[in-house]
Amino acid sequence: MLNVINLSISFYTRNGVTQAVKDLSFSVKKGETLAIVGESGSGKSVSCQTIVGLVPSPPAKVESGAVEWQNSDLLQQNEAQLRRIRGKKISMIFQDPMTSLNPNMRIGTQIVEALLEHSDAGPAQAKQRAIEALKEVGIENAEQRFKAFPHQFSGGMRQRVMIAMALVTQPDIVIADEPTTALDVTIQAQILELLAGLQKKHQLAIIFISHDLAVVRNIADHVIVMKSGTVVESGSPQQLFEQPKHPYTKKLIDAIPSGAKPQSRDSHAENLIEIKNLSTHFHTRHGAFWKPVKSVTVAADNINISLKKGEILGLVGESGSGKSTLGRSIVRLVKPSKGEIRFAGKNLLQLSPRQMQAIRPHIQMVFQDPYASLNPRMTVYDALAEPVCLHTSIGKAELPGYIAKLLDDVGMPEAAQNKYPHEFSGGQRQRIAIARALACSPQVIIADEPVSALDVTIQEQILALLLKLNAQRGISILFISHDLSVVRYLCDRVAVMEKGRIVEINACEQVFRQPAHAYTKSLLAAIP
Amino acid sequence: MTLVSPLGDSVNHQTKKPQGHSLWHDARLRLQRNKLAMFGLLFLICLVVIALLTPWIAPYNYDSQNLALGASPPSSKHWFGTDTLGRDQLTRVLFGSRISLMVGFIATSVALIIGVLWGTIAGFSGGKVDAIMMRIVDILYALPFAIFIILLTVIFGRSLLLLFLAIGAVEWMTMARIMRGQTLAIKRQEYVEAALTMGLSRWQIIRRYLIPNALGPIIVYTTLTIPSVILLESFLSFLGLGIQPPQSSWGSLISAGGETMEEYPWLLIFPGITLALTLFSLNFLGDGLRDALDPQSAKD
Amino acid sequence: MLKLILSRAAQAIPVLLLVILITFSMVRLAPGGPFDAEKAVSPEVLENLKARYDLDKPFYLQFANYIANAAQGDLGPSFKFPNRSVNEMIASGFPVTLELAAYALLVAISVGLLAGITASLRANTWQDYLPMSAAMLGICLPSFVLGPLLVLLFGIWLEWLPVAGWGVIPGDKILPAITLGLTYAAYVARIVRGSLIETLAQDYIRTAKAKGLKPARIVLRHALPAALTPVVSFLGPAIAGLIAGSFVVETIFQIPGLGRFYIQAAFNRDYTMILGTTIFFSVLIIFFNLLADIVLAWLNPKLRFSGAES
Repeated sequence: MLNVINLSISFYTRNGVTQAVKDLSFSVKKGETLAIVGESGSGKSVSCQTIVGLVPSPPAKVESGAVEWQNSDLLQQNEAQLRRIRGKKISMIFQDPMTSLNPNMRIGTQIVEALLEHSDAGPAQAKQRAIEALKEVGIENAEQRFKAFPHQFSGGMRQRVMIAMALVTQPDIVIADEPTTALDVTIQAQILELLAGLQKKHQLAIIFISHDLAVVRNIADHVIVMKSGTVVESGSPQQLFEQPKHPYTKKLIDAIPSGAKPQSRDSHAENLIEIKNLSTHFHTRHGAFWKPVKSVTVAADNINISLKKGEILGLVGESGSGKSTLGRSIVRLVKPSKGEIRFAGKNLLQLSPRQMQAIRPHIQMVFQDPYASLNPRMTVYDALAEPVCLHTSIGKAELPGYIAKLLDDVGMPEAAQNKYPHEFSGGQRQRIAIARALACSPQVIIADEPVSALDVTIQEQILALLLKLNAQRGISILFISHDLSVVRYLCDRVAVMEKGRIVEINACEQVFRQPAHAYTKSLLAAIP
Repeated sequence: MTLVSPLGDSVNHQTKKPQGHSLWHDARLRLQRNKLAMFGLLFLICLVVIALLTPWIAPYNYDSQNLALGASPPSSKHWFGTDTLGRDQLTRVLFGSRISLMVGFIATSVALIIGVLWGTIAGFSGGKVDAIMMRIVDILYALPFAIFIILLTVIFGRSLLLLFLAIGAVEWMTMARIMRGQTLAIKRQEYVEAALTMGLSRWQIIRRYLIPNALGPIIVYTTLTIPSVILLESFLSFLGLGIQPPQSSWGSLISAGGETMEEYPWLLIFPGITLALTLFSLNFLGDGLRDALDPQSAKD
Repeated sequence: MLKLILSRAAQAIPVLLLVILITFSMVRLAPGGPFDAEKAVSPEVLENLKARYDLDKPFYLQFANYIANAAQGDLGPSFKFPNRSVNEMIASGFPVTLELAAYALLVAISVGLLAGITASLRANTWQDYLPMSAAMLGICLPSFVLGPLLVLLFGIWLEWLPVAGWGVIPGDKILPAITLGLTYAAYVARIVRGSLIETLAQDYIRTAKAKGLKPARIVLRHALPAALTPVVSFLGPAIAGLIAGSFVVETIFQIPGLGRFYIQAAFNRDYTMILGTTIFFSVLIIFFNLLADIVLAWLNPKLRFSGAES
């Protein structure tokens, strides 16, 4: 149906020429799903957007190749001809439905305009068909919701609207570019199911672009794996998973954390941090300042949990479950409303700032976004020296050696210390952030989604580093994550949070094998 | 422009190691590639140097009249010609530069100091303090300041000091808003949260995290404030409400030149060109700095 | 939406009172009495004068009286021209200023939008550099330089257009409107260019392209409404700037507008006239800021329709 033959694309920028895609060939047939898998920078999105002429040129330039479609080469078509194919025969679904839908336009208008452009349907007829499309993707009260704006929908519902918009013109091919990456895992499962159903019903060809091999495994008929612009391997999902040929594919598959942690620690160790009856409420004020409307969000609701010495405790939940709030409460970035957090015999919430200062070196934090968690104006050396000078007695003479040792511990070369954060990749920055957390030899590290912004092969390295630090230094880790498979790989115990409550807490394998709570079951069922 | 390391010893340590490139370094390279901005910078440096040296290098005295000569067109003796009282126009433009630039720099400094302090305190304190401080700015923002300044000069007479204060008092509010926005944005960054969990004090965070990261937009906005201040002063002087004769600023020269432009166009054209070139240079430099310091463009 | 309008309007009232209080106190506390400069007058005449201008009462009563009268639209008599009221002078000058400002705004918006849109759609080509250089020129040539230069060129050397005057022949209005409007056209062009380039890089523009929409629809229907937001918020301050600019332009072209009266009043120390006009201008500026705020809120569906799906 669609054949891409030897496609090569380069980007011409001031800094030189980068080859983004090299000799890419694939084809997709009616009713079939082709998955293109790769990490960031692999060229997977660029190649698909080039097919429909969405990549601006310059800087991009198609060096060679052809895209065969109904006896013509799409790459030879001019913009006006392409426009008649785009959105009519080949539709697209994008990653983030919040930014991909026009926030200033009613969703109905946004769906209808595609129809008016590509068919001879009149306004009334187009509206009828748009409402049908909304019903088909599972939007309730479609007639009323037709007039709503994107911000009035939840994330999952917005992605449904996006799908309705792509399908309303009855295209032959849908290109879905990371359509579930921005969504929670249970919502992701629903969207994948919806797409599969619609594909069957309309005999769609789907090109599914993803960084996540696990998501692709269940839905694709054929998978191609890309790395730095080239296809390293292709085949059916079974072939790839069972007999990966290329080392990169093997690496990708191995990087998907699977199975349990080799040996779990004994659960009789003493408690290091104890949290008792902790509740956190956020008060927000809106409305006019003389007549404020107060509303209360409960981020943590009567939480009891403890972190044992030397263990890795996983804290799992979807966005808005309050898991980050809990982690931040411990280091007092968030002020809880009531309850206590005990560490070394003291209730942290009642300490004065000066008393807390003595505690701080023992509890350190690693954040999600490695691009935002290092001060861009400070060298790595200064960033690491700062906590050391503040909390330890290490003198100026020993400092350089100490910092070199710190960097070595996290697998960074000594030469890194005079550079600035922007000169490193995401994974390297996360290592530096971990080194900073280690600088004062803490007893506890609170890691808030430390790997979710990283590519999967980098994820694996950072997880291995955390395991090593846990084993060698005996540091306890509170590992906050939305990703259950990562948690299973890393943690000794797991606590599951939903809407500010802990619904289940148990040994890791116990939770995965015999989940007790209905919510845990639904989370586990949604794992791709 | 490199940042001073918070630890003195790291400097000798760095000498034997490969050197990293700070964002300031990258920004300077980007700025140097921008020809218009570099032209602006060069022009401004020349102008400031000449203005500083004016009392020694000016060809004539700024109020020495030569009624016999009267208004004469540009010549080898009087490059910019002379005005109706026979005063050398080049000298008057040069002395005008001193006034205009002084107003520009001093009033901008007033605005900078008040605005940055106000915005940092509001943004860093947050909560009620922030709400009240920004509400005050909102209310003041709605006041018609150009009219207020005219009123002030009418009532309290025309003094340079008043001019500095009045113009500074108008311009600080935008600065405060920008600084508050920067403070809020930086406060939300994870690196500030990391600093809090490390136990750094407020002052340490402001000094090492907030100021270095907010400096870029502040530099840009300062560069763009100077021309609007110079413009405001010229506007007042043009209306006859600013600098009083025999002193001259660009605005008062343009005003005088406008009245006699039919017969003596050079009296309008030279101060006009000087003013326009200065404003051009400052705006180009400001635009160039914005492009160079913008974190968005720091990626490539 | 109505609530929002009402709350913004309610916020404007204290601002207005503050303006009146500040202006009123400044004028009253000004060094030297209003009649000091005049030829000596007998004590009786002075008493009469004081009574006529309310000066024999304590400050708070003067202020209260003034507010009460102003609320009814009476700004009192002029100091300088005792037989004319401030109201009359505003009534005679304001229509002229309004007409001038309206033409200038028309120039600013039409020229600015056109230049800004062209530049952003052809970013980094000569079609971008040319209008943007012109815009920079417009910003750096203040009206008091531009005005005389235009007069010199078109009025004196080419003799195409009249040098000064207002309303005698239609050509009268061209130079003043351009002089006043061009600076703002330059600002509008720069704002439109910047925000349109930013908007065109948004994800939802890519979506619109993926739908196969025509380029014109993408720009006009999808990008422009969002890109106009900063232009609308600029219009509030722009109106204030236009009023201040009208002082200059009315002076250059000898137009009998309110701005010129104001400057004359400032030179004549005609305190009631200054007070009245300041308040009048303030009301105008506050009103247009309010209007811009409301339009901005209306443009943003998040403010217009709040409430998300549970």
